[in-house]
Amino acid sequence: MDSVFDELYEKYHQELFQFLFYMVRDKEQAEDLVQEVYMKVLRAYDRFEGRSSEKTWLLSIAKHVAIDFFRKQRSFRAKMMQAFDRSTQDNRPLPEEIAVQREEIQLMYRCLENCTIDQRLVVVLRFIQGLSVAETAETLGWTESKVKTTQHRALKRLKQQMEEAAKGGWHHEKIPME
Amino acid sequence: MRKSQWNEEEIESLLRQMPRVKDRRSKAAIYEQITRSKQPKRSARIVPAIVSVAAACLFVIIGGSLYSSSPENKKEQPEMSTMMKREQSAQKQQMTMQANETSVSSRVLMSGNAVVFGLPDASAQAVIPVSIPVEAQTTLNEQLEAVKGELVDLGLDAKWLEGVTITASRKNEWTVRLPSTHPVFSSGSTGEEMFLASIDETIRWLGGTSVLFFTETKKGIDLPNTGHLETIAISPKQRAYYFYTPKEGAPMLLVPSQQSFATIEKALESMQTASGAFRPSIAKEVHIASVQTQNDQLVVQFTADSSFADAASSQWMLEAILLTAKEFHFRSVTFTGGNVDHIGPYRWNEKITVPVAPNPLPVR
Repeated sequence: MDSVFDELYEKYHQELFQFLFYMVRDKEQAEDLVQEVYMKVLRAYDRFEGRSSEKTWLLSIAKHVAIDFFRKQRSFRAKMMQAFDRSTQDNRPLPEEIAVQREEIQLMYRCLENCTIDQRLVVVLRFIQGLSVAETAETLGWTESKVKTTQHRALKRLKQQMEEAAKGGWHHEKIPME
Repeated sequence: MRKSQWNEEEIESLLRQMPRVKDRRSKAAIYEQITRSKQPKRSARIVPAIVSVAAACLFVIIGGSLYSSSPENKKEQPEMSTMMKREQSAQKQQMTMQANETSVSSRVLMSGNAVVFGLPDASAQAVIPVSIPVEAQTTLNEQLEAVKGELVDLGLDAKWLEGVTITASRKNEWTVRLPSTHPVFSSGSTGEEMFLASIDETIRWLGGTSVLFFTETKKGIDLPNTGHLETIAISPKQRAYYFYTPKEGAPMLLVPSQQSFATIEKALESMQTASGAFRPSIAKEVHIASVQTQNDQLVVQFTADSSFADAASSQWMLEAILLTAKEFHFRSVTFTGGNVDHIGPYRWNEKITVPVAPNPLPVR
């Protein structure tokens, strides 16, 4: 087994997987994407110049992989919607890790879907992965102030969604992609 | 009952309580899948990168996926940036004999992004990788314009890239398209060899493993001596770097060996014994006591009786070692021993990250 893979797996695998899972909301898809991350990383490892931390470097590659996935999915979705005029609502059953949690957590999981991709990136990195604002900025290639603004908007959106869900007036807004 | 009012702190706290989600597959299973998916697939996505080269107007667009930029860490290489900014004439540089001077111009690019082209020298002895730093502020076009004249001064032959378009087609596969008037079609067997070696070197630095040739829109190239060629594979190599001066009076450049070495020790040995057109990059007066590897780090220890009298050659020796280490996939090199604490910008007993690219233009 490749020693680079071995080391990266031990140090970061579950973190990368979890990040991708919360981004794409599908375990099987996250499994495929995490493999894609490794393939990119193994190819580019000699170009990693230690100017960022290894962790944020890996997460930034995972981010690119996730965004690529969304782009492909978006064009696929657009075609499907044209063909069947279907809504984009995620009606899939909750993953078991989420389904066994209390209702508020389940609701939050559903609400996360209604954030923009940028908002979701920030929320997942900051609060689920526990990165600092600086690390999040490094991962996303953004300024810290952009991270903070996006974080603020994301929290506001999530708050609004959670409150609407409580009123029973849950509705699925059209998801802005960017 | 559902909570009907939330504040942002509560939302944050709820997010922090989201469950950990784990990949249940074993490490071995994942590794196997990665190795299996490494096989080329016809449906692989086209890499959004195009490199197009012409002698008069070199035009290059590189997709972010190939050269993702990251902020420079000025703390790590403080001397490098000042050193590289410093303008020095080649003559003056030759006269610099003190080992503690920091004014020798570098033969490696230590940070930032670059496009590397393999170009043969005018006497067709070697293919030399030269790199053009890609800076955010100026377009690559402008930078290329600025260095064009220098290729000739260096004794390099840029005609092989005239009108050639290099495009990423699939993962690790690049398409090289030639105009039907390209000089390689009437250049004799040495010319053909040099051209193919240039393409090999250029694609190697782009991370490619195979090349598809086209003559305009037709698949393949018909070379009078080599024959019909549709594709070449770029074989993985671990090379050593030597000194080479393509033209009398021109600056010395670092060139990779044609040969691949099984171990870094063997590569370093060859750097002391190189002959023919190339000069040894490790001087006779320098002795390597030991070479140790720790994962992706290399530690090179010099013997106490090693002499580093010539500042320029000593610095370029270290740069040749750094590039050789990069060939062997090391990420950093630490120099120890030899009774010195630094040569040029390279400090002893500190991890030095391997360079981004060799021979950055302009070479001074």
